[in-house]
Amino acid sequence: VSRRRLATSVYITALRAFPRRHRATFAAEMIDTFERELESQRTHHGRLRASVFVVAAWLNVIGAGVGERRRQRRAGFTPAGGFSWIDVTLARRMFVRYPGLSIVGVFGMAVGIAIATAAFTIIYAILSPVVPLEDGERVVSIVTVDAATTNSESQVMHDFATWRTLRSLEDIGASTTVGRTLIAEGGQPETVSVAEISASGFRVARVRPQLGRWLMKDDERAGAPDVAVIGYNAWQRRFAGDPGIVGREIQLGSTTYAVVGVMPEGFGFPVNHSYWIPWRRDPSSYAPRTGPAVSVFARLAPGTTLESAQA
Amino acid sequence: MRRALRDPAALIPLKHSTYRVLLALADGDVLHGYAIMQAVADMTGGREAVLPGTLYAALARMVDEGLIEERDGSDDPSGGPQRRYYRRTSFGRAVARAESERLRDLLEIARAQKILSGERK
Repeated sequence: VSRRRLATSVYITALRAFPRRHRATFAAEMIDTFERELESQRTHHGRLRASVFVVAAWLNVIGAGVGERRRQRRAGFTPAGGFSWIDVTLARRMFVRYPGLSIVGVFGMAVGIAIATAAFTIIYAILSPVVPLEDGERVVSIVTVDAATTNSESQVMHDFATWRTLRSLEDIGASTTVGRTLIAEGGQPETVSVAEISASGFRVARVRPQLGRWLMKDDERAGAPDVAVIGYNAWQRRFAGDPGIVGREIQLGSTTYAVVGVMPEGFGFPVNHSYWIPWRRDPSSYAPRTGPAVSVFARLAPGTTLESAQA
Repeated sequence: MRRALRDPAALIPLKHSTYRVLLALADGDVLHGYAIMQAVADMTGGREAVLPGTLYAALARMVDEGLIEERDGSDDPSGGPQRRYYRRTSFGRAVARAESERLRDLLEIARAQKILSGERK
């Protein structure tokens, strides 16, 4: 019994590696769990295994506690009783004893905070959840979620046919990605990712082409000429920025397309694409959960909020 | 119609402890910390274990991340302190699925290289 008490006492001491906030919530359960598991190890596996468990649990609680402190600092949790006069006193003594070092330290922290602020501003701009398009906060993706499994369904051709009638959406577009071998004059064949995209997709994006035009509804008609739009990077890299690119022919897979437009630098809608060809599929001909994987995106109608659209 | 608010892939790869806890909390299970610890050991035949320090740090983190949520649970008949009970959220399930798919892909590579066939070089 005394050994067990000793083991628990050391465990409780080691628990102090965790921040106070965590201890206030979990300490009692952690101690109880430690004691139960220790008893279980001793009963089922003997004293040696129990001793191994005790040492492992001590080291583990210290390591996990330090990790949790770091996590809470990163998450911006304020430690309970964050302000302490002891800190003030220590700072004053430090300044009196080492004024030069203190000034350098304060200056260093100021520079560090400035750098961190700038870095976070940039990171926030990059990771901002708003799509970087005109009125990007009104551009949404639409998914079907299986209520039973909570898994999202990618074969949504059938659903897309229904969604097109929703009044809460101003424009709705769809695309599916296909891999094609690009064959063009003056370069080696290469496999590229091509977006087969509805003309409405370009209306959702609202980004004007740099050259030529984007894809139109008429391009989706069966028998219409095969046309393609390419991205700025592809234009520069693969076609040397040829100003006469509009009208040139490129081969994607077994089909030859006439280039009708070049999108501006940075445009990669819906997901980092550089080649776009017309959408020539009839969504109403697909049964539920059949057909290719499709991304569906839309622009909310004026006056519609995201919440009312989801209702 | 629902907008995907959080991408499960953003949390991938998962820490081992997070993945084990997500698997231990099967659909509908509402378990307290020690029961989760036992469930991890049971489902792996005792080969895998989560120590209390790692477990409770993981639980705190997973609640913050929305992978699990606290639920009311029945009192533990064996006594002990008041316990918190946890349930896997639908987002937690989606993250577990994404991690499982990642591991499956790695496993496919191992299979293709016949690492699992018992060959030794």
